[in-house]
Amino acid sequence: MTGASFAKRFTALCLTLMMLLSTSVAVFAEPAGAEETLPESDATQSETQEGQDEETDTDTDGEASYADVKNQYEQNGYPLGTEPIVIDPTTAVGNDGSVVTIGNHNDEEVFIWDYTNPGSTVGNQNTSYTWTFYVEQAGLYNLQFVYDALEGSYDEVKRDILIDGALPFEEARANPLYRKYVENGDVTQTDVGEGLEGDDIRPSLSEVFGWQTQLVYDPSLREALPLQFYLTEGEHTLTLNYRSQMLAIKEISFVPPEELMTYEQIKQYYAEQGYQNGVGSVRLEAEEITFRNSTSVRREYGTDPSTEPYSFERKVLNVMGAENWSAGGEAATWTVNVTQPGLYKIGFHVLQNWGDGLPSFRRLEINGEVPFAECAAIKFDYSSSYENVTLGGDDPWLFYLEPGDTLTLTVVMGDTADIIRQLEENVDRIMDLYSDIRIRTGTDPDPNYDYQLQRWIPNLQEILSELRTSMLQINEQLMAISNRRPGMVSNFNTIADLFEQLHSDTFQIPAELDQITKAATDITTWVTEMEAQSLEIDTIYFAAQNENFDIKEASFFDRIYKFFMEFWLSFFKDYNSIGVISGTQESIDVWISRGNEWCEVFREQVKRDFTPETGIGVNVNVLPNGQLSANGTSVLMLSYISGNAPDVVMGAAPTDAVEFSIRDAMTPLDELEGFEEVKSRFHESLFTPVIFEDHIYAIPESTNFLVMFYRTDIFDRIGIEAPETWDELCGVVIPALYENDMQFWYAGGFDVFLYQNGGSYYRSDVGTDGVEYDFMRTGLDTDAAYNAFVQWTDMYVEQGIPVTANFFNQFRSGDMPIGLGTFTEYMQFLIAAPEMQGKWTIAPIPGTVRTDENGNEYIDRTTTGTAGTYCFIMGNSQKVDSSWKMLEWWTRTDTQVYFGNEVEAVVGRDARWLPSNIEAFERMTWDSNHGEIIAEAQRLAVTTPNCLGSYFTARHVSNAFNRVAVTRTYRARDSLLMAVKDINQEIWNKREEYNREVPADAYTIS
Amino acid sequence: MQTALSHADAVKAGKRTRRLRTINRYMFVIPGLLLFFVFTILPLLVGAFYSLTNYNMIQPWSFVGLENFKTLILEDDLFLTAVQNTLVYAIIYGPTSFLLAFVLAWVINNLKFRKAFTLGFYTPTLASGIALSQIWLYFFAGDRYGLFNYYLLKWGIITEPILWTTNPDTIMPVVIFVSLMMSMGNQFLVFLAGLQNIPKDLYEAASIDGVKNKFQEMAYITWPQMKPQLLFGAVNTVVGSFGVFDIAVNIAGMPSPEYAAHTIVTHLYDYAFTRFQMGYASAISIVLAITTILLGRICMRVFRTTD
Repeated sequence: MTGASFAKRFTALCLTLMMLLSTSVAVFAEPAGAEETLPESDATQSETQEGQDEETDTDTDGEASYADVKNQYEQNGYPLGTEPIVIDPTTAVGNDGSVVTIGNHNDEEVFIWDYTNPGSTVGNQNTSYTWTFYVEQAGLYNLQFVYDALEGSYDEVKRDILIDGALPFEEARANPLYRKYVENGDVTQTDVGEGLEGDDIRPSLSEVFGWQTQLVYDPSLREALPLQFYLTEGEHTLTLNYRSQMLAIKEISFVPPEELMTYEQIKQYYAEQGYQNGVGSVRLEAEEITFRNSTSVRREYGTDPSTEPYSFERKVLNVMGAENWSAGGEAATWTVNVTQPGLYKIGFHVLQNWGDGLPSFRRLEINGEVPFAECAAIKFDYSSSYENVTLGGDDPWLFYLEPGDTLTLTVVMGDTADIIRQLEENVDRIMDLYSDIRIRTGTDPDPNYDYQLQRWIPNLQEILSELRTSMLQINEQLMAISNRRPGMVSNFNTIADLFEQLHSDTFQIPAELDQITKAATDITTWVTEMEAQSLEIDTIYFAAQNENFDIKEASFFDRIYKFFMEFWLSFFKDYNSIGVISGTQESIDVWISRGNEWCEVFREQVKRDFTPETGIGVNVNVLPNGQLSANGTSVLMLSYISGNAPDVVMGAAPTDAVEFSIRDAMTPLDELEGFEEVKSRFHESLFTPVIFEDHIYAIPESTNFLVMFYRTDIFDRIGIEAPETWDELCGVVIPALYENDMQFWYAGGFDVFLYQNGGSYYRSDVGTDGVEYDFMRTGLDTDAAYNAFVQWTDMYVEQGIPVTANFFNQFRSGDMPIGLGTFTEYMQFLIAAPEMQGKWTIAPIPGTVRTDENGNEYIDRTTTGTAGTYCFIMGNSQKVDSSWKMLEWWTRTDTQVYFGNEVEAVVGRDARWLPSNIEAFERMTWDSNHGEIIAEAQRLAVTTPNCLGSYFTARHVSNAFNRVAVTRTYRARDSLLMAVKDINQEIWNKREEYNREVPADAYTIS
Repeated sequence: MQTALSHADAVKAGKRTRRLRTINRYMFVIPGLLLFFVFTILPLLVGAFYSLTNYNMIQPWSFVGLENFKTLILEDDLFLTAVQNTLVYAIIYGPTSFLLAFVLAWVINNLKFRKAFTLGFYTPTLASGIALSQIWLYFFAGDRYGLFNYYLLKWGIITEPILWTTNPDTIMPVVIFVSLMMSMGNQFLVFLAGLQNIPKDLYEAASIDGVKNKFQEMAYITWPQMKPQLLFGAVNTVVGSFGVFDIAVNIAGMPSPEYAAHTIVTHLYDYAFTRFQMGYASAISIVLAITTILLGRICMRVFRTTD
């Protein structure tokens, strides 16, 4: 019958119709900005930039990498040194005449490098010291320090190591000398009331002082063995440049590198020494770490039923490591608990399900020495579940152990080091290629124009095919070391395909320009991922050769049982509460909107300082982000209505103050005892957003800042400087950027321009009762506000800066080498973009030129303190005094400094705590002059107040902005006036609703 | 004497069983009714009450009579914008989604791998709306790396990226488009079930009676037979389109630029949880409730089964 074929045809028709229907909707969305001007001809632009091409390549990275230097050592056949060269640290010579401090430390007269010591004559952070020494015999040496890190933050002591005034290789930069930490006391449990045992709590860590001996390693541990320095015969100098932290140095020496035996050789050595087999089989719980060199190496909560000891009712600290033990150089040391000296095999109960199939590597040392060559980088394969790993595999390696020996495992990069190095080389090549191409085509090339790239870049095809081959080779290497195909392999294949495709058709390159930068970004992301070598250890086993390890395994039924029990218990467990600290006095409820780890640090600090001091008990609850806000159906609002609100709230946004206080839901703090003292700890402006009708309702805890970021390398190359004013930015910098196909990023909103022009968001006015009140109407109808609005929108309309962009990515790629950003961006650039290190800096934001009453011109550099977090006391709290004691204690300098240090140590560097407390801020350490610039930005910051109806301001300013800069449907004046009308209306409505005075002319004009 | 039950007894017994049966029936309905009362009727009544008050959630309420409704209808310009946006949304989204789902169901019903297609179209609706809007936000990202912008730029259709979710002109179309794509699965499943419930013999009978092609089948059998499902679908879309909120907020933000995606429900939310004017918000919700009930009635009238 024809029915079937008809049906088929009809189906096709219907599908086509559907497609048409759905596209018709998309056609609706015809670009509004379509009538915008076309980009200028890129071809002419590129001609002018030809000269800069060569410069780009020359000013690159500077130092050679250790891998290259080591290759050279091998090529030249340098011998190993034989005799140690010992340098007396007290013979140091300081730069710029800094006096050398020799003092008593640990009962010895030694060289002390401490500029914070009040009596110290050592200069500042730019200090360096030089020692002169004589080498009898040319050769390769390791550098060894005997030092004691002085009390400071949890940062490692870092110095640049210069030989004869120059860095021998890149790895000698910011080289760390580690600190040593032990636990204070034992694991305790949270108090969940009713005499029940709660979750385990980590003991805090404290630093152990005393002389330590350490060889100099590659800071990222790509090279597992100590760095070797080549010294010729004769006189040399060693210079140390200050990077971070203070120390005392007892001895510096160049020691001959040790030649490691292979396992085969050491077996013979064992026989020669007549070592006997060990006795018995023992377990060592890996969480019992004797000491570690980084605070992030610690006990962790293992959730696998095969971990020991295990409990499904509570969280137990039964393992160590995991993703907090992943950065190169982090080491844990255990004390071996064998009973008799002898030869033992070593096994581990480990989980390594990180790294997407890639292995993790550890260097093993017994008593601080690598016993044989194979231990320099031991491979722990990827596995989705817990595994028992025996070192040496089927034919276990034997180690000579005596009771009390130490066993150290250090994160090293092992086989991945070489892959990472190749990937980084590729990224450099891709970015070089990209900048070469971009000079011809611009960032927004015409895909239909033939730029004749091959003529301009003669080896273009060669580079592309090399990159492709390299990526494929890397994939092979990755597959060889991995247990399953890592995700990055597919990505690298795509990248290889891209280069293949571009190689076969270079005409396509301009159209695929974005893909090229994306490839580089992708590779960098994978490199960062690859450098994290996580490993979780539950138990370490030692057993004599012929004994079995003392292994306990969880059966299938154990797992099922655990799963159901956990599910069942989830109905009863309060996951928000992270602990009750009982004191002798009344107990207060504290709700904190921060990550769990932050709150745990807080809880421990309360237990350590607050409760013993005041006797007040504290019940700490964690709330997810946004649940403390006064907007929306937040938990806090609902709990307040139902009468279950806490006493103290922390981590809230300042906008809540007005919303809660107008409804009597907050306690005014300004009349409480000692408020003035607490207030003096902060910049006055931080209180602006939390003042409502002459009362202050909240105290700032963390803060933020707005500064300008710029790429120094790019600015040097194109010969511009960071602008001082907006005029300079628009007149000089932005045109220069456009010439180079780059853009400026602005994220300061209206605030910056408004305040720099002397405007304000709200004005006072006379009410119907003849009395003047604040916040009666918006201040946006003034000349200052209008000028500011024009200045702001012109940035987009006249200067054409983009409305949306991914600043982080484009700052990295160099397409947006300058822009405004906050603390968030600062930390991103610092932590997540290691390849940019030293290539960017910050400056105060540009200012507006204004004239003061005397007719003198000056630059107004007011900035905004983009909101941090605040803490406050709820209105229905019956324990205001205790709550106030909590706030007072919490915002103290010492508390804030300690909290910041602990959080950074526990959560990681990217969790840096930026305290509002001025003194606490001053005690933080920053790179170069960043601390001063940020402090200045905070001092000059103005914060936007909140008032009745103020939520309408941001909304209508943004609408006004949209009308001018995005849809371009209105002129600045009209658009701003529309906003003024709406904002005033809302302010007056709200004032009437709450029985406040409104201006006499309310509703009649505007 | 067992067989000689008196007539009166029998009647009595019959009455008792009937009464028992009635009670039984109510017993079965009660849990549903109870839930319906607690979670639908009661809130509506409470809302109706608060719509006559001035209430900010924390302080006690005060009675203001019909003031809220007066302001809402006579003074609130923004409410008009909201109504306008909602109507535009409802008029485009309602019928389009209805027809699209119907056509889709019909097409898939005629295809070979019906189950696979059904699964394919239905699965996305299982994911949460918020998660899906995140994916759509990537499609409509305003920079040059957003999927649509990327290809439109690549093919030379536009010269600079369209700010899909920032530009008031494009926000509503984007919201409608995304809603259409996300809602299709649910509706079409109902329609598909309806299509499969139509007895095959009807078609056979019709073909004997002279129905020649699928269109005639459609007009004379499928459509009339599908009326209950169509009714359900229509009421669903109408009510759904008046309640548009999640997608609008996820795509355009709250509040949306120049109120371009400001709907009745976002207006309600704005008053309830940004300004805490619960009384006024209740008034909006009551207006919304009455509108949807009326529209529901109209739909019932249009799609009513005559038999």
